[in-house]
Amino acid sequence: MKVSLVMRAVGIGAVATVALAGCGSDNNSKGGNGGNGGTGSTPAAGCASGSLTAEGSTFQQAIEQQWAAKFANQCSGAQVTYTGDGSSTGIASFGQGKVDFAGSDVTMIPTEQSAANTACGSTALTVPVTAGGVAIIYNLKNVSNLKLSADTIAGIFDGSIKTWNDQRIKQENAGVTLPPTSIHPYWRNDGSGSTKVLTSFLNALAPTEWKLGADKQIAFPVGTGAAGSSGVVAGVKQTDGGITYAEVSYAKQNNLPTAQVKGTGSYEGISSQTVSDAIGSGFSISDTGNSLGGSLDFKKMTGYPISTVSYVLVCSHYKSASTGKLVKAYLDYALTTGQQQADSLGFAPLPSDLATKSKASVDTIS
Amino acid sequence: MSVVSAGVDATPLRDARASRRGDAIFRALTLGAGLLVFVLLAAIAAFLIYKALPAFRHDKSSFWTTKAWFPETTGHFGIAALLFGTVLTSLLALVMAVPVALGVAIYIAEYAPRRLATWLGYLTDLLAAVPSVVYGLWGLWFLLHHLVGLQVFLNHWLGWVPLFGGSHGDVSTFSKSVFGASVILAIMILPIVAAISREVLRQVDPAQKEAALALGATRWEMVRTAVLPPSRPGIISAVMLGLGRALGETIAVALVIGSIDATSWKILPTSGNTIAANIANQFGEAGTVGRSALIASGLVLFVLTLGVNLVARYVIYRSGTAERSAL
Repeated sequence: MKVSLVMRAVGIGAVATVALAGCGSDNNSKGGNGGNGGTGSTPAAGCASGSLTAEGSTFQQAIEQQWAAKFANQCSGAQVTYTGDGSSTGIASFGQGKVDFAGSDVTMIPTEQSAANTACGSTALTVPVTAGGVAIIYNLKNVSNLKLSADTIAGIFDGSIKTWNDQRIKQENAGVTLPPTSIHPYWRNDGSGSTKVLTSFLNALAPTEWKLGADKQIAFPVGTGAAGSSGVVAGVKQTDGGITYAEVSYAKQNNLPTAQVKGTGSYEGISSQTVSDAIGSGFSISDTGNSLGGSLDFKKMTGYPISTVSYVLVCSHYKSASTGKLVKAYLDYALTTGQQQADSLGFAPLPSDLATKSKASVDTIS
Repeated sequence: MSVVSAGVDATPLRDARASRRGDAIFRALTLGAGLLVFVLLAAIAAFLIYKALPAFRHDKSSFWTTKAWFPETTGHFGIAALLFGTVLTSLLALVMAVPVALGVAIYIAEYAPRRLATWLGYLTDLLAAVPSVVYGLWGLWFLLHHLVGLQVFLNHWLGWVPLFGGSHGDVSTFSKSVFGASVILAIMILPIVAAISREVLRQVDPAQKEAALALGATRWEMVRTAVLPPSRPGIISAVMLGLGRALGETIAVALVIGSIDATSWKILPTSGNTIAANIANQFGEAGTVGRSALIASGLVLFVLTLGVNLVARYVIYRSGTAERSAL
C-alpha cells in the first residue's frame, strides 16, 4: 500500500492545480453528477473555504486526492492537501498537532490516543471513511479463473504448496487444467497494511496451516520480497507462476487475473460490492461515543473476505472554528458523494449503515 | 606562485600589504573549507551513533549475527545478511566491471583514432550521467528478464562452483538476485572506473612511451611496461571510487535484489539484500525503533566505506612510494 514518490508528486501537483482552478460551478450538494451547470455562483450547502493539510495511510492516498480535487471543484477556496506517507507517520504527526487530520489503516493505541487528545485539546475521533480489499493476483499461462481457499493461500505463502498442480489447488479448481509450473510468491518487504490484512485473514481462517502470525511485516519463508504494491506486481507480471497480494487496481493496470477467495462462505471475486458486503458483515465498532474505531471479524465476513476499512483521525473540537468547519464539510462530502467514486479507484464504498454512522459522527465536529 | 612573486616585485609596498591581507583571507577561507569537511564528517558520525543507540537497546538478538530484519514486529534484527550481501554484490560488480573499464580506458588512451576516442569518451561519460533509478527500472523490467538464459548457462556448465549453484527450476525463471544486482552495479560503476583510468593513462609521460617503443617494444609491451606501472595508483583510486559507489548504491539495487536476508553463496536464484537497499525499502513505513535500526545499519555502511577509502589511500600511498623508489 505504497505509491512511488513520482506518483505522489504527480498527485499533489494535480490537487494543487485543481484547487487553484476551482470555480464553484458544480453547486449541487447531493448526487454529485447531476449537472445543473453553473447557473449561479452561490456556494453549495456544506462548503467552507480555507486549506487543510493531512497525511497518513498510503492506502487512502488515491481516494483522498480524488476527493480533495472534486471538493475543491465544488467549493471554491477550499484546498485539502493529503500526503500519503504511512499510517504510523500520520498518527505521529496528528499527535504532534502538525496536521489537521490523519488517514490511518489502524486504530490508535492508548498512548497515541492521549497524544492526539492533547494536540486537539479535545477528544480525537476515529472515523471509517473507505474500504478496500486485498486481491490475490497471479500470472499463470492459460489460467484466469482460479479459486483459492484460506488454507490454500496459506500453503502457497508458507511454502507447503510448491507447484500449481498441487493436489490441494486441483481439488478447488475442478475442470481447470493446472500446469506443473512452480509457484513463485512475491511479498512486501516493506511494512504494509496489505500484508497485515492478508495475514490477519489467514490467521483467522487458516489457523492450522498458517503459523507465521499477522503483522505489517512477516518473515515469509519462500518467494521474493519487493517494495510497494507496484514492486510485487512487477515481479508477478514477469514470472509465469508468480502470485502476490495487492490492491485490485494493480491487477487491472497490468492485465493480471485475481483469484476468487473463500473465507467461511462461498468463493467470492473482489469487487466494490463484495468488499462492502464483507465490511458490512465483519466490521464491528468497539469505540464509544462518536468515535467509530472497531475491529474486523474475518470469520463473520460474507463477501470478499480479505477486506479492511480505513479511517480518518479528527478532532471532535478544533481550536480554530474555521478549520473545524472545513474538516466537517470535506468529510461530509467524502462520506456522501465521495463514496460513489470509490469503485473506479479500486476502493469500495462503506456499507450504507456504517457510512451513515460515520457521517453522523463527522457532523458533531466543531 | 611565480605569478604572485612577480606581482610583489612589480608593485609598490601598499599593494603588497593589500595582497598579504588577501593572502590571509584566502588562507582563512581555505582553512575553513578544510575544517568544514571534518566538522561535517564528525557531525554525520555523531548523528548516526546518537540515533542508532536506541536500536541496540531494543535488539532482542545479536546485531552482528542475526540474519533477519524485524525491528518493529518481533524485535529481532541484525546486520549479518545485509553486510554479506553488500560486500558480495560490490565485489562481484568490481570483478565484472574493472577488466572492461580498463579495456575501454586503454583503448581510448592508446589505440583508438583521435576522433573515435573523443566519441567513446563522451559515451562512457554519458553512461555515468544516467540516474540510478533509471538503471534500476531498466534492470527490473528488462535486464533481469534477459539474464535468465545466462543464468541457466552458468548453472549448467559451472554449477559445481558454489556461486553458480542452485536447482534448475530456481535459476530458469525471472529472479531478483545477487547476480542481477551485481550486473546492474557493474554497469553503473563501469563509466566511473573507465573515465578516471582514462585520464590517469593520459597523464603518462610521452617520453617514457616513446622510449619503450624505441627499444623495440610492441604496442602491448609499451602499455604494459611504460603506461600501466606509473598509472597504478590512479587506477587503484578509480577502482576504489567505483567500489564506494557500489557499496552505497541504493535505489537501483533496491529494485532488483530479492530482499532475502540470508548469507547464501548461490547468486543465481532469488537471493540477497544490501544495507542501502534495505534502508530504501524499509524507511517509509518504519516506526521509531525501525528507523533507529535502519540508522544503525547506515552507521555500519558509513564505517565500511570509510574503511575502504582508508585502505585505498594506504595502497595508493604504498604503491606511490614504491614507484618513486623504483625511479
